[in-house]
Amino acid sequence: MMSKTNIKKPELLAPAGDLERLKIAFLYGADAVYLGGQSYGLRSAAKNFTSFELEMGLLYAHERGKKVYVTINSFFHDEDFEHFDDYILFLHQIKVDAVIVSDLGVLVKIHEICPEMEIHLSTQASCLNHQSALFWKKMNVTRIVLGRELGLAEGLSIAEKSGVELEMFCHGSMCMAYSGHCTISNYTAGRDSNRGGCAHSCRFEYTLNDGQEEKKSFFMNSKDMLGAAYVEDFFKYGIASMKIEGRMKGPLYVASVTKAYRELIDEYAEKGEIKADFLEERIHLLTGFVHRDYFDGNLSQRAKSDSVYEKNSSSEQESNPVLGLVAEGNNENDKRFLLEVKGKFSVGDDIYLVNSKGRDISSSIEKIEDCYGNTIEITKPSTLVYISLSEKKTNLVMPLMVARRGAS
Amino acid sequence: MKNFVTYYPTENPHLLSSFIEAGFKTYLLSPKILSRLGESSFEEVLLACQDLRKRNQMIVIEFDAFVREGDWDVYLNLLDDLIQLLNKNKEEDLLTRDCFLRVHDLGVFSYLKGSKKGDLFKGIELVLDHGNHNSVGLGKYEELSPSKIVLSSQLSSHKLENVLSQIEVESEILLWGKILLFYTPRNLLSYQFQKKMDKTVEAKSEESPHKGFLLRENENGTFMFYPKDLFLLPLLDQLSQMKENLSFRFDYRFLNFSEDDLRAAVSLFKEEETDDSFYKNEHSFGLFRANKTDVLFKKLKNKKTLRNQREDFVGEVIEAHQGKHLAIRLMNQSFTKKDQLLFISPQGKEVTINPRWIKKASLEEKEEAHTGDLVLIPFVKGMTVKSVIFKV
Repeated sequence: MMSKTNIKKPELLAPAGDLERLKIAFLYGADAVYLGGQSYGLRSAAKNFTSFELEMGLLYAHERGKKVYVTINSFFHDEDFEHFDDYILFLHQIKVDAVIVSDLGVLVKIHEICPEMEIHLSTQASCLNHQSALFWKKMNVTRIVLGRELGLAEGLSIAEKSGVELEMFCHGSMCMAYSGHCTISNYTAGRDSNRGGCAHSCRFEYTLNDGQEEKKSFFMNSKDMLGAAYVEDFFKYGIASMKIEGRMKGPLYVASVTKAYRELIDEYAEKGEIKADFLEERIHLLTGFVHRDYFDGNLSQRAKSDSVYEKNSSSEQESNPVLGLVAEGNNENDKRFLLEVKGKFSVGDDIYLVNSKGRDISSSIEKIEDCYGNTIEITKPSTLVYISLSEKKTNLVMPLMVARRGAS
Repeated sequence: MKNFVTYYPTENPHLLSSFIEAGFKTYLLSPKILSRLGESSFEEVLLACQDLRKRNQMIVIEFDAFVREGDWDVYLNLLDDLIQLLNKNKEEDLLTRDCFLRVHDLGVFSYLKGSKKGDLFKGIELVLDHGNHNSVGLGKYEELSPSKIVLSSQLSSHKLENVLSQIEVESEILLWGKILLFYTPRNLLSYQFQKKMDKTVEAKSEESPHKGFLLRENENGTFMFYPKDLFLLPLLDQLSQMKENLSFRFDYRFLNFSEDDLRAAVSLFKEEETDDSFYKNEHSFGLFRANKTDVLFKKLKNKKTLRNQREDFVGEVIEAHQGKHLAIRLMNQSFTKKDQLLFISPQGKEVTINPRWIKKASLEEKEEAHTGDLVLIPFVKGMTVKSVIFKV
């Protein structure tokens, strides 16, 4: 899509751990999502999609002019190809927009089974230079997700020299190792990190001893990438797609990150610049959920000593806990909305509904009722409640909006 | 005769005779920077090449570092420098013509295969030691004509035998040495110790029982090795029978051997020598006997509620209002009040019922529930949130 500034907008590609998060990603402005089926992906712990859900997700996306890419990015052993033909033909039949692969064997097989299937190369394949990009282009890859060890200027050089469409991560967790080249889990936890079993051993604390000095440290724990300040460069360097990491992340993350980058992309496309205060507001949005400290990844310069997150990742507390997901929106006749409750809250508490555009809807809660009209004082997770807000003005509350605590 | 490969003993060149005597024919040279773990200067590489050529041994120069786009010219210029140094005496045969180049980065491999620079070498070998566990992919790499491929240590004996039966290209596996777990371009050790780290650091996990990880840092980044050595030497006869053109690498560089230990280790490659009492390091067969690393993770999932590919899957319970209703989100299928529904709780309890009524959350009655709907049906005893529902 061309913007007013006549620069092609990069695609905004969001993670979808399940059908619910697929819809959330689109509600908050993703152009495309990537997701995994229940086999062959690298996120075994994510709920992932059954065949039917894949079909539903595709329908939902295509009805809205959006795209869906399916990850098949585990490294296959020979036995993994059993029934693989059926899966690829199924994906073709339901019209997935592309598959994302890491393994040359998988790529070859897919091309054999279905030559018209579009194939993207996963970041797990560690494509780091233009010659590598040219190699994969010859192997029928139409888009390459570059290794996160590269900067945007390197992306430009690869795009110019190879002529391949490129996708780069703009946000999220980072592997410390070259992706696809870490087997700590395989040998220490008996789980294949390249077939969906990564135990995140790089996030552990270790005692290091150099023979003179001993120190405890989370020395392999990478900070998270924050690319909000480089949205302009994604445009200028001709990166076709901006990818958000996080198929394991929850609805608030998907909603907030997708929304922030959507607004940054649209702002730059429309005005040709992103003012500092506009950027600051979006960065604020990106701090409203659990994350490690941020750094720029390698986008503008090579990661240095400040790229290590020397804290225990699991001890982080959610700053704005999710209260629920809107199950049914409100309307002129009934100002209440139905919430699928994920966290405890009570009458009088402030609630923030993450708006798909602009500021969040914030209000205190006037009334909580169950389906039978009984008043509820304090909610319990995994229940359905009707919420009435105390605000005078009726804001449109839409299904799948994420409700959270915290400051605006 | 078995094909043994090892590293040229740069620090103790006099040991070369022991290696040759034990049957080693191929020697790896690791120039700084080009080789991911390399420590040899180009001059040392030159001297080693001359020594090996004189003794009629095979030479392999490592260029197995990954090359990021911004470093492309730096690395390729370094390769040019090395080539120039090795071929400086142009009156003689070019020295590189007697050397293989061992490459890991696919871009470097692809570039060299298509350039005159690559033609200066006897052949280009390709390292495929992470991933690349299937014969389809390996077969495709074979079509690119590497002179040899280096296979992954994660292949179990059964899988190794299988892939070897389907490729013809000369192959190599690590027989004895440290298993590289991790490779990052970041300098993690100097970040920690606030100084240039050119020595091995040992790491102990504080969150798992594992200790004794070895860490190295150099210009290419940081490397982490598994505490136990991979030691497949006792299985050499079995391995040798798998394929004639399979080579076995002995990488002693991080085994912390004294010169005497190394001499004793080398002698173990002679068939008549079996005294390995000097070898005190913890060692294992790695994943060679059985690689079940994809099995355990599957077991962590609750199979009872694992949504599967069954077409009769309806949806999940999202609210269980004791004695009143179950709220269901339909993800698949539709149903009416007359349909039989099978409920399976996370604990595995199964109940089949006909819903007597179907209502919206607003309690308005419905005849039928469709995909995407959120509906209430009568409460089913024993069923909780996350119970899954199938149409019978």
